[in-house]
Amino acid sequence: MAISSGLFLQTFISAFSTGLTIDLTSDTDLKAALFTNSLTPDFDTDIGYGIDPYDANEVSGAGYTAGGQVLTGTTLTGDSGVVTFDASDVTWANSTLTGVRGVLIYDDTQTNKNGIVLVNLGADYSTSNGSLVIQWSASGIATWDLVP
Amino acid sequence: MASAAERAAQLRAQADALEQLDALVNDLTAAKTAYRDNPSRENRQALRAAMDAVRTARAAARDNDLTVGGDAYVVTEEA
Repeated sequence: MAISSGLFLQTFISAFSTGLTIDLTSDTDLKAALFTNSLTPDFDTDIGYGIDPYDANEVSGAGYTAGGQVLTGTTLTGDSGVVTFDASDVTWANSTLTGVRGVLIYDDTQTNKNGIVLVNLGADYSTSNGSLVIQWSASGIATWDLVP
Repeated sequence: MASAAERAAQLRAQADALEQLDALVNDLTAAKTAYRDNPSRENRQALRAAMDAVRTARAAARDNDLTVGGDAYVVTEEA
């Protein structure tokens, strides 16, 4: 069992078919939640936060509230056929956490709290009454190449 | 190894970049509010420009790969 990075297929299908409306530029709707490496995603079928497998293996500890924290400074930009989703870096200050391996970004305003992207941090990180700072890639959190 | 002067210059440049990024994010927040209140073509263009500016600044200020920092640490087990 291990976390990998990927986009949630069902969310994008719903957005283009059944009227699921997600604003990736919202500074209030989207949240980032932390999970351990015991999580095994299936990006073809996974739905969102609180629904299997995201109903278990969320990290817990001082300085962390279940469900994660709101993403701010979101941007959705496009250039040369590539759409880029990004946001301000996130920090869990004064936290004591163990085995943080993945970040789930999801829409907290949807009934199913639809997942958008899961990001593998590449290692199991811990803090001891300190700050966990996640700096997204210079290329953004996620990209969609519309003209591959 | 970088000299103290070189290291200080690097830190100043990093601080300047972060200040500039904060200002651009504030501009972005204002542009989002303006567009939400009045979704005109002009406000949409201003919002797009603000997003592009933030994206460009972040691309310059960040590392190529996602990084986890602050006080976070990785426990490694010796074989």
